[in-house]
Amino acid sequence: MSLPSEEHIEMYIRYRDKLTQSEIEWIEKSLSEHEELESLANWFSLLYKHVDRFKPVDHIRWSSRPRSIELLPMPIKERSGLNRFVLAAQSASPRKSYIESLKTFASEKDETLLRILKMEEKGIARFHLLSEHLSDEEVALVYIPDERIYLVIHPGGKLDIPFNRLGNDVIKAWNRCSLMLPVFRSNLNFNTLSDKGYIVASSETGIMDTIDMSRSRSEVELELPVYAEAETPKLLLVYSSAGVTLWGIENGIVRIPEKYLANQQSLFFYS
Amino acid sequence: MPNPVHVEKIFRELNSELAQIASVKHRLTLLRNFIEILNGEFRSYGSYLLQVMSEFPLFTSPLTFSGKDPAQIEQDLKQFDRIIEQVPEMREIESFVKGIEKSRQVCLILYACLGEMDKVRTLLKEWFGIDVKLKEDDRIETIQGNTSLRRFYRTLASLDEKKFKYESRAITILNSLQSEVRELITEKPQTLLIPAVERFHDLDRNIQTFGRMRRITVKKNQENSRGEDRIIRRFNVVGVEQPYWIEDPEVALAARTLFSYHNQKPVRNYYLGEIFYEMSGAIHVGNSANAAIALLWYTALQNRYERRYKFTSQLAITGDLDAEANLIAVDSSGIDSKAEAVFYSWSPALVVPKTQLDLFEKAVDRLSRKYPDRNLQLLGISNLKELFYDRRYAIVETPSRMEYALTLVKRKKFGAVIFMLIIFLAMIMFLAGAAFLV
Repeated sequence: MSLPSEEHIEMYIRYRDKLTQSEIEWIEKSLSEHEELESLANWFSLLYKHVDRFKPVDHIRWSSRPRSIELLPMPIKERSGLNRFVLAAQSASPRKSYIESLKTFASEKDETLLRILKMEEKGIARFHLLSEHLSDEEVALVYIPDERIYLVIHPGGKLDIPFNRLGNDVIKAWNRCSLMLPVFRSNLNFNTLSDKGYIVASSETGIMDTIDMSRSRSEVELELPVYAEAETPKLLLVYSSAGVTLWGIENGIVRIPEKYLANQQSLFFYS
Repeated sequence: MPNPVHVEKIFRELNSELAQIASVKHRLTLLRNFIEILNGEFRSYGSYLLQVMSEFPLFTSPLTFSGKDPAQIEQDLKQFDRIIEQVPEMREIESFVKGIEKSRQVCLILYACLGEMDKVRTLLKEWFGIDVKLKEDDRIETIQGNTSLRRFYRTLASLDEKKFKYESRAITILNSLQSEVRELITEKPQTLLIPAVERFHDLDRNIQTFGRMRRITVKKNQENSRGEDRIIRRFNVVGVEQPYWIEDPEVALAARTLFSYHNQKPVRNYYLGEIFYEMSGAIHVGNSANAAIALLWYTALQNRYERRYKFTSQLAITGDLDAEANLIAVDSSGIDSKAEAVFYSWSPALVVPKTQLDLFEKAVDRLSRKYPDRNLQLLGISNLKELFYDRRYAIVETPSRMEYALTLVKRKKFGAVIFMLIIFLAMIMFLAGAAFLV
């Protein structure tokens, strides 16, 4: 009578209900007669004892922080100015400011603020995002519904846009915006990429999962595991020193042409 | 991380405050408050710092830094260094960079005023790379000033740029320091220093109280035919829209009383006069400057006398007074701040009402524990006349007869011209008469 294979033993340890009664008896007899097979069974027991401690990712949230935060203009309360004494002939402002507030969006509930500042000398509008939900290394997206654009807020919460690309008056007219925080992130090293494999994704709280990756002709395809609807990423940001590109994720799959990939990049997934 | 929405609210309040206040100390306090709220997270809140530090105040006059403990300035400077380290863009804020440079100079001057010469030497080297040995105190001053500050000035004045081969920045700093200190030790005729109390709310709505100096000038103008001296305040007074305000009559009367104390003939004519404060923007309240005004009015009136008294302009005085020139106590709640104003300054002495001398002594003693080398003289007097006998601060001027005569002629130039003309005509008539007889 032949001995049970490694696969038989693993089935016996992990999925015993899938085996017939005769198969179970045959494996148990073999284990009792062969010490090496028994050791292998013990090893599988130990392995699955550890593995089963973790719940499948689709049953938990990646983190407790919000996926997106609605930001509204922060109202400016004018002071009464009762103590102010201004001479009629006084000029408006003798000193030219280095930096001035253009627009401020806030969410009191989520303790998050987006400042948009005018830096006249540099000819730029500076976006400055402040939120305890965002770490210094992460990249956030700000969606501006009025313009239907996504703005990429760089690590540290900064973004500079020249006036000629986004005028001050346009910014002042914005009524609201949405801040999108990454659900999880990953790294992709193009040089060491095999044709088929997986990359590891992690959230800011340390939860990890794998994403299937395959490389064919001139593009890289990523296939995400199936998550609960709220956890399913819909956007992928490829962020590298060479540039930033934003990709839509459909049915958990995203394809990135190789020409948009640098040697080393970070991938941020937004739901 | 501080709540960004909370920081934004405080920032808006700060901006609103900064738009309304001029006081350097007040502005610096508010900025310090704001920095503390950021809890060291300067990199995260860099955009706020870039914005508020554009409003960094500059110590434009020595009066603005009087009353300030240099250790506090030094501590602030260290904090500013940490900010620059985390937000390098701060180097592009001109007012901030200039403000820091000026604060360093002010810190050095204040330490020199306090006699902390080792500290001065250390910081000169640390901040500007200037290594100097400070001059020994080897001169006796006619009018006593702040000895250690004069020593510092002599050191700065003796430095040879070529010999020391400093960088151009260091030379600029040395020249600037020298000019600042020269300004402080130079006598400014017909002026005195007044310690004042500055009160304001900080960002936490707590009342902050500071002492600072004000420099007062009293000027005598033309005669007043109304039979009284009218001294007009050329500065803002709380509750008075028009700064044209006649001073209390006791002040002018007290000044005239002083003539009788010195057996001088009373001044028969009455005059119009003006009181100015250097940096007149601040709104004034209280009468503690009256003693100084009376003293300056007296010195202004006696300029037609052969024997005149004058007082060093570095003297600080506080006190109200009556028509007999007796000093009246000042508001005791401001004593600590007034003592600080003079202690952290270049003034060698503070004159106070004798009834409050012990309170001022206690306040100065507290400050001297930290800076034992600061030799601030406290003079408690009951009447202004007592000041005339202190030759450290009062000087008797007796010009030569010729100089005095010329002054009188100059003052009565039109009368003298007519007198000379009459003499000249009389001589012509006399000579013509003599020629006719011959």
